[in-house]
Amino acid sequence: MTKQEIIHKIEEIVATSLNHHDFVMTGNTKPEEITGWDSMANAMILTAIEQEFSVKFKFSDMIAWKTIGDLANIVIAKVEKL
Amino acid sequence: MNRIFSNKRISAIVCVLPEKIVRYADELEDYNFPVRQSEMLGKMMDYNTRRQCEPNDSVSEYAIQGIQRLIDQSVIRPEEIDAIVVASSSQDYIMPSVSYLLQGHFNLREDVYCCDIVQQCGGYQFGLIQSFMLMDTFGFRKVLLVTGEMTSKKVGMHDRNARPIIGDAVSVTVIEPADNGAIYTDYRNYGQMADAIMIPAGGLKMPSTPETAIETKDASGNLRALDHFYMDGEGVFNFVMTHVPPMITDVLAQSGDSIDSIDYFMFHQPNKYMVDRLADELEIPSDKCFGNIVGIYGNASTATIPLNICHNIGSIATDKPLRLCLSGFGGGLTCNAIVFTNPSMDCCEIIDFKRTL
Repeated sequence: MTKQEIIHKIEEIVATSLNHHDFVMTGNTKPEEITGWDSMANAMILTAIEQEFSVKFKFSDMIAWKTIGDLANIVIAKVEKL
Repeated sequence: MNRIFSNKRISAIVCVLPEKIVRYADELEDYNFPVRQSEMLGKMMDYNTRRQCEPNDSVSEYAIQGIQRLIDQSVIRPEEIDAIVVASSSQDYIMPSVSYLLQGHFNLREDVYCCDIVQQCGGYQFGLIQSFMLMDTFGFRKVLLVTGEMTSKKVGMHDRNARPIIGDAVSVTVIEPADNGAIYTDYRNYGQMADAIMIPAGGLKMPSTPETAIETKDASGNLRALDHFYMDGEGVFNFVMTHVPPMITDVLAQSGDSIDSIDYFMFHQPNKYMVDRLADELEIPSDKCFGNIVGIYGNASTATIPLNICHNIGSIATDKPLRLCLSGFGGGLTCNAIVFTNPSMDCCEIIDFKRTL
């Protein structure tokens, strides 16, 4: 799966979790730029991403990313270890 | 701060719950968020049911029924009680303290030591440590530790961050001498983050007024008033994940334990998500650490660990000795842990509060 495909999947998860799609997601997008992405939503989104890709985030992973591209890189690294 | 005590056991716990069960699914329309999103959140966080007290209920009334249960079952006799320690943030009155109300109700000896300490989610361990110190200092042989909260009275009905997790409960724990060896304790306090969990109004600094009862919307759209319980969810999560794992690792190293040598990790439960993440971080197997209390009873702060013990390992704890790691974390902010072998308990049960008409 390419990074772009992972970002697209994250975009779907975010839209479902936030119940809206009023955003454009690229690798440079930051969570604070998307309406409704607060701490509760963040927990929901990260859990949904774990389930989607069958990976598990450590706390160090959860605080290590600033952009969706960073998050996708973490997912890629974990998927490659499976 | 590490302290080592010795030769004391928890001999009995009785948890007293309100009979009223409220369901998250029934209140989704109360929140300022799309219902479908709240449903998804509930599923992920395991929000189901919780126990809720009535407006005029009090911690002392529930504690009286718990203590009476212990007396009726011949676990304790009133004349042998040496001290009552109450650890709670749900005082009946600003004064007098709940411990005096209990001493008076049961006509206990005049020299029974009465002590209330204001505590939140780490309160059960601080209550145990206080009890251990009293036993070591004064030679007490039977201490009653009462912990419990009625925080639902202070939670806003439109606050989706707090209302779904808050439950009410009171516990009574008996602590007495035993031949169980060393008890390893550790506590670490971070008062710089005191405002991460608080009820801003209603104390003497900011008395409740019509203005403090007005709900306002925060950046995420959640509604809450200054009179209501507040928790900075993200800040507390980061605090717990940063400070609790190294503290538990340190206390296990001090006691010579490993994850394998501990029978059960009985953690405070703010919500299932946080407990599961904490267990994952410490690589604790899921059958040694439970995250189910909030989804069944709600988070009753100082009473959550005794509820966890009674609900999840009550029948085992009354059958044989267990190597336990208790850990609380939250309001203060604070975190603490106790590692010890608890001999078989005499009583470990949950009862409903009986309302007298």
